[in-house]
Amino acid sequence: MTLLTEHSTHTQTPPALAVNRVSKGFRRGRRGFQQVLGETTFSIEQGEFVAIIGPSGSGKSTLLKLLAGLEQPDTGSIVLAGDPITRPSRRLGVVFQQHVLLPWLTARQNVLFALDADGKSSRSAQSKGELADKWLDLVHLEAAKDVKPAQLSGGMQQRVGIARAFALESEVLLLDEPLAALDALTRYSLQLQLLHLSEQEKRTFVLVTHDVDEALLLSDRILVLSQGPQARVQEELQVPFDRPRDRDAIEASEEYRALRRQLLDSLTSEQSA
Amino acid sequence: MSSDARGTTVAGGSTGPSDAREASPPVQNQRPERRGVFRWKTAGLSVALLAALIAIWHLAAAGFDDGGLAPTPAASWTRLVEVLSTAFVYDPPNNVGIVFHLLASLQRVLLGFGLAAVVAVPLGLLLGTNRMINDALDPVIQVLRPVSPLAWLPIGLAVLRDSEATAVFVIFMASLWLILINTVDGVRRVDPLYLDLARTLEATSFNRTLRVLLPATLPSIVTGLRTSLSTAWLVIIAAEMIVGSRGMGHFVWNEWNAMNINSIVVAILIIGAVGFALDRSIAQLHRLTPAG
Repeated sequence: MTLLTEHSTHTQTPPALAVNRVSKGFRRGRRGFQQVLGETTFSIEQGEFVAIIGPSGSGKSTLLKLLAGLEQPDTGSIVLAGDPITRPSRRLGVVFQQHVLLPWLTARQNVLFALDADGKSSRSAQSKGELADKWLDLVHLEAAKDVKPAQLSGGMQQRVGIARAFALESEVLLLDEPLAALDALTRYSLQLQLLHLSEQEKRTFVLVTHDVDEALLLSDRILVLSQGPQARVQEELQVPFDRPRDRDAIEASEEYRALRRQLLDSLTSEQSA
Repeated sequence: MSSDARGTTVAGGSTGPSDAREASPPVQNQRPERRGVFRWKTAGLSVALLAALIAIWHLAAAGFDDGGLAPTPAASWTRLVEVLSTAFVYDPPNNVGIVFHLLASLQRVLLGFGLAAVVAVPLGLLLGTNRMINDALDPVIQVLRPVSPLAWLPIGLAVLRDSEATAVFVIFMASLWLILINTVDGVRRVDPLYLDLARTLEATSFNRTLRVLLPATLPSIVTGLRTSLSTAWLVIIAAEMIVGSRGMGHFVWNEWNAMNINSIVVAILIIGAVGFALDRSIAQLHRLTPAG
């Protein structure tokens, strides 16, 4: 149960993300100040899939906004492969909790908009189209490409959001409770799709979730945040299952049950404290 | 936004393993069959009320002895037929058909309104996104907004020294604030997540403004355009009574000077019908706005 206090300086490549003594709070009312995140330090290696789990109100979403560069930390720094993050960047792809698709564009146009929003892409229109199609196919939306978001189910909308983030070819993908708003069956099926995508793609993933099984299925390592205010990483857990993973085999294993118990204990003990 | 869209799941899109379970049966068409009957009843009632109104008007005009000045339904009808039958006569300056008056009014309204839209929409987008400029300009807007556009008319005449340009200027002032305020309000109500998305995509300010902000604000802009066009149509009649050498307002004032009160009833009907048509046509813009 040791916490990473300094990111390792022995490895050759710098960590994909290094969070150094980051804290964040928000002004409340005229004079009040609500500390959300206490001083938090951890780092994420290249190609690693890290889940951040915590009770609601533990500052998970705040932490993800900091990682995305959408908010600036009050103290400390966040470093993306050697470069400090001061604002959002296309090197950090985000899958939002609400799908955040532009309702006046079709699924395909939403992905294409992401591809040329920054006006810097050297790809031809045709190559962008192929890239968008590739990712929409990979999330099984072949038949719904030219449909507007309002005509898609919640699960399909979120799959467009996932395709959009993957199509950006960012080094790091930040997933902010991407499946939390979906019903249980849809969530179950999308967890498997995310598992396959993340195993095929050699990228770094950060998943914020409150779902213990989702974290165990998808991640290599789980960071447990303590209850806010002043949330911090209270526990760190390696998830040792071999890849590619088979959900049924994992869930049947003794090890899975032990890890699950440990995680739940950690989450609930914190809540009653 | 997502949960209530369930009923309209695209059938062809169910390729993923989840969709068979996700899709719910299509929403039933719940329009009652009796609606047709209901419509006939409404139309019947409408005709009956109109007939009653004309009857009351007739009786009131007959019982009101003022030397034949009060308009009666019969005389107004005769005048309407007269005005419409000479609608296309063009023999200036004294004998000009109603169509040319109408066109003159419409031209001023559309010109002033169009100029106002061209100024107010970009300005509104700027003020909506820039808190500081907005707060600095807000007192000016709040003080000028409640002023009747007609108060600008003498200033227009003094500065522009042209009655045509002054009429357009008055319409411009009448339309400007409503479009501006609705646009600013629309930008404020854009889902902040769209702006977060634009930031994470490193969208250029051109893309952020024209491909995210503008479409998201469009419903409010159209509402602003619609209300301001109605207002412009109200104001042009009054303005033309003062400055016009042609136009519906000028027509009304001219007929008043000639004591043709029946003509004014005719003018009111035409102004109302055209105002209604204008509102209907600009309401069509709502169809272009995203169904979000």
